[in-house]
Amino acid sequence: MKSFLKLFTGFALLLLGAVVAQATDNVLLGVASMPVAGYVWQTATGLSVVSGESAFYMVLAAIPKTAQGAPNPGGIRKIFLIATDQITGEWPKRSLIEEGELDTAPTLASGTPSPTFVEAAISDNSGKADSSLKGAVGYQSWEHGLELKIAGFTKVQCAAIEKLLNTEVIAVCLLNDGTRVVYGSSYTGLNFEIMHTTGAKGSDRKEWTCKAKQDGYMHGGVILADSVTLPGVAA
Amino acid sequence: MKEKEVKILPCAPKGIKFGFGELSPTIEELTVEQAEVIAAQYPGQYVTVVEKKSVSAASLPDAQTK
Repeated sequence: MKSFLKLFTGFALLLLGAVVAQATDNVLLGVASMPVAGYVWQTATGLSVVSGESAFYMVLAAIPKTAQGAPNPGGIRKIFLIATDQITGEWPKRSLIEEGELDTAPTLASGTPSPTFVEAAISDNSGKADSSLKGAVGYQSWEHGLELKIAGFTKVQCAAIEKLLNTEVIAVCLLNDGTRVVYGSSYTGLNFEIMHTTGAKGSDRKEWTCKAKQDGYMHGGVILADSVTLPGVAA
Repeated sequence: MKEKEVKILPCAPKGIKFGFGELSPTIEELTVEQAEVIAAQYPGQYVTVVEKKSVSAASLPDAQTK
């Protein structure tokens, strides 16, 4: 492919030189137009027609670390969930993610009551969300994972947990640094596997453990732009 | 410039909160600017922003005297 492009570019320059020479009736001008065209092309696109480079290559971007003097706390402050069928269309959508963040709100289904995100309260800093890029070259995709523990065993919790039976959800995690990150998508939601334990003695933890993992995503956890407002997602 | 006011639609859930960065007002506490953002993102679902109607003296019914 690279050889073909270099050959094509060479013939294009020759053709340009011939056209200029014919139009101006000056062979010297035609010859001079070829390096000029090459320089203009290189200035405009950054791609050289005479070097070994080709126009079709992956341009990487520098990956910075956390700036000096800036905090980087881990952990999740709050988790908000919404069933995937409350969202119309695909959200998040990879084509709408620009420069690492999504600034498009989801289109919510119409109905009464209006769709809204609900909070799954996290106990004892147990909320954790993961994104993994996995697979062999040419077969890679993202995997999303979410885990949290909720203390207690009440009828309100039981009723809420029952609603997660065979229910796919999208999760919006409010990280401890204030960033909102979306896990899951309306086309491929997260589905929880949930366990509850009463503990054996008084000092043991009586808690729900909720875990969800799903792969096949086209993006990792997506950062939401500050301009996006979501019903029910509170700081 | 006419004043605007926020009207909560009947189908909106009660006490619903919206994420506005560090601010997370409930639907009853939304400012006009915040309500306009929500109305644009979710038309016909939660709030609408209308111009305040002003009552002029001419529109008041004539006082009846005995």
